[in-house]
Amino acid sequence: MTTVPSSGGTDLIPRRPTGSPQRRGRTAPLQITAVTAVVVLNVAVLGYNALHYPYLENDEGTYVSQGWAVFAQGRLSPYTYFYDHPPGGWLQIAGWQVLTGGADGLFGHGIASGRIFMLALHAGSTLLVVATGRRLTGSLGAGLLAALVFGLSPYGIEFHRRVLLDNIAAFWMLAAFLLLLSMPLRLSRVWLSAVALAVAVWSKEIAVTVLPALAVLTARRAAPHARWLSFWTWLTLCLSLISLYPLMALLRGELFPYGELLGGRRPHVSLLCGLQWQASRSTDGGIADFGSGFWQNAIHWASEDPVVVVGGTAAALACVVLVRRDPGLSMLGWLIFSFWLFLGRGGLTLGFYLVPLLPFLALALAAVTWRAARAAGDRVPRQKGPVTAVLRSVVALGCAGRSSSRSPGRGNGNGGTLNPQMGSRRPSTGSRRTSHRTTRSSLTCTCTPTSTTRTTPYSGLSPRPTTTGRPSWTPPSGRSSTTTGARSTTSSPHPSSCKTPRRWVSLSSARPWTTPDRSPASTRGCPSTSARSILG
Amino acid sequence: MIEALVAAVALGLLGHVLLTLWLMTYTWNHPERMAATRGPRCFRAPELGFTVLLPARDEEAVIAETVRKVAAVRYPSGLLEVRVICHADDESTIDAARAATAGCELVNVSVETFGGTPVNKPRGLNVGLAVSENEVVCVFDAEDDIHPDIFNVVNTVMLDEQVPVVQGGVQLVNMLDRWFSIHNCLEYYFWYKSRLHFHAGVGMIPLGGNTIFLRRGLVERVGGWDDRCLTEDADIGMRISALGVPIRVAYDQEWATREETPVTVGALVRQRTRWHQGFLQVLGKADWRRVPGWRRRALALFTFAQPLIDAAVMCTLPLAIVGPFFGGPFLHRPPVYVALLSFAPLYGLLLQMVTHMVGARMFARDFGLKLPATTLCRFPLTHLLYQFLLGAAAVRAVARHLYRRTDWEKTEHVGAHRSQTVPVCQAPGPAVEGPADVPIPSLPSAASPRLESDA
Repeated sequence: MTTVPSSGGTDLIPRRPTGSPQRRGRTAPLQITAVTAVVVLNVAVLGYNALHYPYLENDEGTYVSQGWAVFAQGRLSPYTYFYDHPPGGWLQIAGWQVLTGGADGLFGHGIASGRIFMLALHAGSTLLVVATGRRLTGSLGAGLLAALVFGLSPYGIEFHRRVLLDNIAAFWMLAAFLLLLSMPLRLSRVWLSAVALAVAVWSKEIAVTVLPALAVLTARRAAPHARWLSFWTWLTLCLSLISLYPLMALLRGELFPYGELLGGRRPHVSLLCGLQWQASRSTDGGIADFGSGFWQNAIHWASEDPVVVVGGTAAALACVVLVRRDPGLSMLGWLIFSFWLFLGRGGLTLGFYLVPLLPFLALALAAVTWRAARAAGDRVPRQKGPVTAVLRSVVALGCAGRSSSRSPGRGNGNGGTLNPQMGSRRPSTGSRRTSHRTTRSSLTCTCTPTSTTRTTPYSGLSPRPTTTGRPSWTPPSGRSSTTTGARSTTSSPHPSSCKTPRRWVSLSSARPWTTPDRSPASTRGCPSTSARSILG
Repeated sequence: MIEALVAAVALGLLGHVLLTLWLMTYTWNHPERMAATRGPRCFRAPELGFTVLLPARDEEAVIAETVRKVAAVRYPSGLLEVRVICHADDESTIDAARAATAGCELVNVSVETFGGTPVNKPRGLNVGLAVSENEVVCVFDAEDDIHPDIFNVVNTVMLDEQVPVVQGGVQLVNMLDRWFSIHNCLEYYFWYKSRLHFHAGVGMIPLGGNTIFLRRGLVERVGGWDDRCLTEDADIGMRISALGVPIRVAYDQEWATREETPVTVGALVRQRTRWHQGFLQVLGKADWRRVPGWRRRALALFTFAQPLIDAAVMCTLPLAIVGPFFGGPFLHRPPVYVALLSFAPLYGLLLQMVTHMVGARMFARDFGLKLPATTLCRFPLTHLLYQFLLGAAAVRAVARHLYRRTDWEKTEHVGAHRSQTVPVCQAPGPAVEGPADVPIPSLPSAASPRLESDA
């Protein structure tokens, strides 16, 4: 046989690093049990008194009635549909109503039906969070941890039960993100992701803010031979489906305002008017003005749910800065910051605007914590199963949270007051720095020449390469003490050092978030006194 | 009623566009199929004898160069047998072929002539088959640029995998000659790089017109080529498939045979009409019904009914174009979802166009060609025109089929692809003869062929 020329190509088939079949077979029941337990826990926590707590919001009635109008009246709204939001969200609510025997159906009244729908979506979102966390880190434990953070977030417990378009959009945004993390990333998954993001935008238009991050993620994760094809077809498909919204307005003769050249003389609502109105609601300085509605809400969110809001944002920063080579994690960080940037654009900011971001904050927090815990606790025998792994990360998360939130005090329940943890009206850069430093030192432990451990994408799925049985660690800065070959590490807090429990805001003490009707910002921006809520 | 018609047409067109898109991008969706249908990374010693059939008519401009290309392959000349087949009245081609064969290094090469009717390619192939004897018969067209190692590839595949039929890759490369050339090139690119792998996965492959390799016994068993069929290649492929014989696709762009696009719009339409008509003939012969397995039969039906589908698409195109505006604010207003649905085919077309544009870039990169920005700028317009031409050719083919006009519309060749500066195809070295351990000159990219093979 003769060796002959070949075109030097790359391996076309990405390998899927998995464990041995025997091991998968053993662990599958335990994994299924763990996932089921987390989903049941999240649903139970959210479902407890779901139909009454905290109160029935007028927005909920709006969306449920619009969903009812779809099949009952063949219209997009019982009143004139004036393009406050794309109709995809209540089209799904309408579908749910059909499945459950009508708007009143099985659950007594329309909003109850809608809240049960939110509960079902929450179960689905929890599963998506578990799967996404697993994809991001290669570990089911991280996925479970993210789902716990997501499901037990006091902010989420408050808002996930409400019939909000944001909850529906968040589900589809998660689906779009997860599909792009498929391994290997096939073109069909790319297209499905584009469809999912378009559905998210059709559910609520704010989902469009994550489009750039997901587009870059598509380009980064696609196989080299399919990169261009994946990126451009994803973008085309996504934008095409989104463009059906203005096309719908055009076909209804309601794209342009009446009285203008293209709008005709017949008085009618219009999409451009709707967008203009949305953009003009409660404009202020946004992120550049510390007295803006954005900062008021941000501080409030941070005080009520510091773990997810502050911790998640710090984790997003770590994703952007420290794990740039991991496309999934780094684009998760960019996704979070692009959403924050949108919230801080200087427009209306309401209490529930954080809802779509919540699962991503939980994912960032869990993924970074997980990787930090792995980097720190590498000497501790692993492969103890997801439950042990989650417990270990919870301990690490608690300690990280303690170091980033030094004050044990909690928000005093007054939405307008300051978070004692912050120390001032503006976010404490000092505490962020501490958190950042902690995470950074956990993540960037550099190995001595005797160890080749490194952080790689999907490192959890493949054996960590070591040349010695027990790697030794060197901290990145002189501030941490060096420990070589010992069980304790310099950067990750040891469980024994965690003396105070991590702070969770209890439901009873959590004040309901500022509602649209009570919000000064919302009243400023509302153009009419119609009984129908047009907020959110 | 009119709304239901608009919706049905829109859904049908959308389904067609999406299915076409799926097949176009199949290989990027299933890279493992491409890896499985790749050719070998290292070659066996030459063992099989090949008969090269070169049917030619009015090809005096290109036949001499083609013979030289065949003579320059890296395969022992003792194992090669070349038959150039011409009709007796085509004296200029005969003279050119004889001049070329007289000066080449091959020991077993001849120009065969035949008289009478029909005067077409399958007739020439049958004549060539009768006057040759090597155990593997391969077909090339008179304008083909074949890769110097193509026989090594097929020799290895046939011996290693014990397959009696191998389909190699074919690619048009002169993408900048005419406005439609790039679209024609892309059709070949997506067919051979993607769709053919889908067919290989299902197990039903309509053979292409050239770069096909068949065991002589198999060809004789199915009775040779049907000289009344306008697509004799697809027809013999179907009859072989009906026997349950596996067909192996060995595609690698490096080894693809290079060809040229038709020189005029008329030639393009005539060529496409002939293919469509040939497919309708194959559909009518019903050999595809004997192919084992319902999936293969369904794929065969879809493949050979393509002219009918294209003609139907062409006929419903006016409705698809008018439909969206019919639902607009200026005319009668149907339900908004019907109006939205009527836009679906246009969106599908947009997605297909973007895929083609990306494909143009990938094609240029794969074959080392330069893609000017102006070509990309006018791409959307020319793409629409090209699709219109294909639809018109389908309608023409159906009409000709109904009127039973089955004369062979010959495609002119001028050798435009040979003026392309395509760097992938290395200048052929001397033919290798002798024992297996003689090293074959390797390309610079072959740093670790074994690793590629093991991957």
